[in-house]
Amino acid sequence: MRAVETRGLTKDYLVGSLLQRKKRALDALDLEVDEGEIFGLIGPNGAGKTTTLKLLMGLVFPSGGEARILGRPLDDPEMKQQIGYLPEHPYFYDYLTGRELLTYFGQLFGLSREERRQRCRELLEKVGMTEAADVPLRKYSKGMTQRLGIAQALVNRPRLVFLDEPMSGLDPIGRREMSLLVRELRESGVTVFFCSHILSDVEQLCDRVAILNRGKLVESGRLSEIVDVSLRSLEVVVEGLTPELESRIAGSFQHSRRQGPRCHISFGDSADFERTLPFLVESGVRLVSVTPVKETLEDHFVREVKAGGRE
Amino acid sequence: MNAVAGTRPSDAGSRVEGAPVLRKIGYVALNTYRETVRDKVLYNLVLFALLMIGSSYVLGAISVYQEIKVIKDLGLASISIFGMVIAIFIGIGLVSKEIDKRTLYGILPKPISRSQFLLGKYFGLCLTLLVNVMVMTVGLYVLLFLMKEPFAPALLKAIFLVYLELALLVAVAILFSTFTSSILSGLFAGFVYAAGYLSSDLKNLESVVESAFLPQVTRVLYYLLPNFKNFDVKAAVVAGDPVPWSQLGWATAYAAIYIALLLVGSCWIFQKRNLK
Amino acid sequence: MKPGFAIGALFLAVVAVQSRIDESFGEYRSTEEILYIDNPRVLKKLLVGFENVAADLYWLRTVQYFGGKRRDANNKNFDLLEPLLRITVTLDPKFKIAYSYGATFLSEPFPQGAGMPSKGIALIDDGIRQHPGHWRFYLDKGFIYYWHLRDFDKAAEILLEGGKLQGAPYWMKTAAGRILTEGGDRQTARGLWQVLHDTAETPQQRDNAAIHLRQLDALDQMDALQKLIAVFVERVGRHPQRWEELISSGLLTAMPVDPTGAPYLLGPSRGEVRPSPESKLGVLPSH
Repeated sequence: MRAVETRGLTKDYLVGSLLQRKKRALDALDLEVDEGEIFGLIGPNGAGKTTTLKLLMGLVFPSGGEARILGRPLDDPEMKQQIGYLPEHPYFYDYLTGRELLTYFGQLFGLSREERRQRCRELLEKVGMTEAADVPLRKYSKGMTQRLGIAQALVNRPRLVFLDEPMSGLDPIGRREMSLLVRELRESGVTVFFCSHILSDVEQLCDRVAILNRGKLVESGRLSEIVDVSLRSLEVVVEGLTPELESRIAGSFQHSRRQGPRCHISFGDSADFERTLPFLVESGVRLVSVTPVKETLEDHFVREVKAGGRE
Repeated sequence: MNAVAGTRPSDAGSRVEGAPVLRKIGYVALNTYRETVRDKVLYNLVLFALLMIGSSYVLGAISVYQEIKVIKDLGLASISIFGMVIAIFIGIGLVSKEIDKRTLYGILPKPISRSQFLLGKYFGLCLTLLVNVMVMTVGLYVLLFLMKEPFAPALLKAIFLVYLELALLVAVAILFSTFTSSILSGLFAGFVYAAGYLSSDLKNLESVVESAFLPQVTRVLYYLLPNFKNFDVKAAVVAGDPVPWSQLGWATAYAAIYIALLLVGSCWIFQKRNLK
Repeated sequence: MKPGFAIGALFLAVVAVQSRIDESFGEYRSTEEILYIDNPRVLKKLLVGFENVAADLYWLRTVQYFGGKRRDANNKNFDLLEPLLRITVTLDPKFKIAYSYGATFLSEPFPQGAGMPSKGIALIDDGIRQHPGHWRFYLDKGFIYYWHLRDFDKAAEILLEGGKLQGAPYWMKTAAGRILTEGGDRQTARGLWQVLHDTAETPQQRDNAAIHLRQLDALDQMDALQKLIAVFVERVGRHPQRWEELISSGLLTAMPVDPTGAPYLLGPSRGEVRPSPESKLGVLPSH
């Protein structure tokens, strides 16, 4: 049984006021997410990421196709008992305090009073909201709301969490904490499904990704399979390379660039570099840094999306 | 150690059944009650109502030998009118506000069905109304007590029926709230209220207008619209006329059935609705 | 579709309960709340902005009240008729029909109306004050004096005055003349009722006029029958006991029936002709 599975999931909207046209927000999406992995859904704005999540959460209904979570239909309360969801711009009842909100949701999950109390405490501490626990939500900053959002997604110790742009609104410390949290979740066996357009986060965290563009699935699979991990080039920064020395190693590198006392040299592959290295060392050239350059997810993404045309 | 989430499926599995349905509805109801109680607008309205009841004292002093009657008349009318305002203003927000503000995004993914949620909201507002009506009732009785008027339990019959009327009105407001915006549903609910009070006059059209077709139409409309006159015994109670228990019984039956109808309809519409 | 069935079934239940409520408690409701606030001026102040709609409402209730009461043989009291009319015209003084209707039915003797001609006159006088150029009111008022109060001089005076107004029909003056000269004779009466019938503004007033015309016809018939009985007495020397005797003596061809179809009865002793108690003629005028 897969954690999430969709077959031909489609969503059409009617747009326009008088003469309504059908706009297809999601077109026959086939997706598979296994348990225990971190799965990233990425795409430009309007690609259909949030639509996919809204369909999975039962907030909107599909125009075609079907989907299952944990092998069960989307309206199954037993399934909902085991999942958590963080919406994109979370907004909760602003007349409640953080603690009250978590308690309320705990009630809906059927936690006992003792369980609720304990869980509240745990979660508030975990997301660093213990001091603000009794402040009404209407006074929260965006970051605070986001933290509370992740807390409420975990009230029921879910097997599977859905996060829509979990990093938005967080400062760099918060983002680091969130990354750690996601990793922790995976370590405990929780499946994480998240949408993001911060590709560096996705690259760091995800096991598998799916790329959406204009409602269609462009590509999906393991990150390592999608992104060509082979070396593109080796960026070496040196000091003390005179033009005369440079001309001596002219054939072994692709191009170079001078910046003050330093020189940035781009080697085609590591073999070229390895051959040149002894000579450089002998000549007294000082190595500042050696950086492998691989295709990033961002490179790949931009290329794929440009090919498919941006919205 | 992991404080964050369950590791083995068994952790989550042990709680797969979750809370019983009625209890979930109860939690939503209580939270709705809490929501309305923290709403400043409510306090203003109740304050206004108490002021109205108090000012009936002044009006009563003006009309000779009629103070008690005026106080009772105005008191009952205040409870009815302010109850109506509360019912509509808060009733329309029940669903529309949740959709507009997207607070539903946090609720619906939880193990609660849309219908259970709707019912919870409805009963929560009924609870709010109950408390408010009781506060206003106490205010009225206190005033009467200060006027040295003996305790009149008959007024409670009229107030009970007013409460039924309000419960019905809230159900109307919820129905509109499931498919239109806040403003429109408020307007529609107000319109239905007025029309419901005049529906018995609809039947009278038959005797004045000469047409074979019209009486059929008005008769259908008459049954379709909620007949709020069924709950109006204020005149009788103030005049001291007896109000038979059977009348209360039938009015309660009418309210219960009509409310059930509206709630079933609301759940049906809400179940199908795509949220923005 | 399960919810659909539930809704349908619940709606039927609603209709059933509502009908039951109307049956048991309807009468009570309608009289009590019609006049919850019975002071027209207070009402007018309270309903600021909605007086016209409210006037229409009260008009509807008036007609329903009166019509309902008339049909109902048991409840014989039209107490609320005048207050209802008063409220209607206070809320909307332009409601001319209400004045005429009130004039007619307040003055009609019980049980055809409330039997209070003085109240009818008071109402129509208010109407005249509001609408001095409206000739119809003079007709209504004049008629009350003519028919119900038997004050021919006053009736003629009013009709003459009304006849002078712009738009008044020519026959108002002629009618005035005839009343002065012929007084209470049946032909004049018939003529006037016919006019009221033809120019009636509400179906109820038209029906009322029709009833009166039938009554006049009945009176004519009874007169004719009386003459036949007199002939019989002359011929046979005694009063007839049954209509068959008149038929067998060739004076009548069939059993006499009144314009509503009910048979006439021959009096117990001295040959008086009476309409049957089941007749729908109503109370016959004494003239």
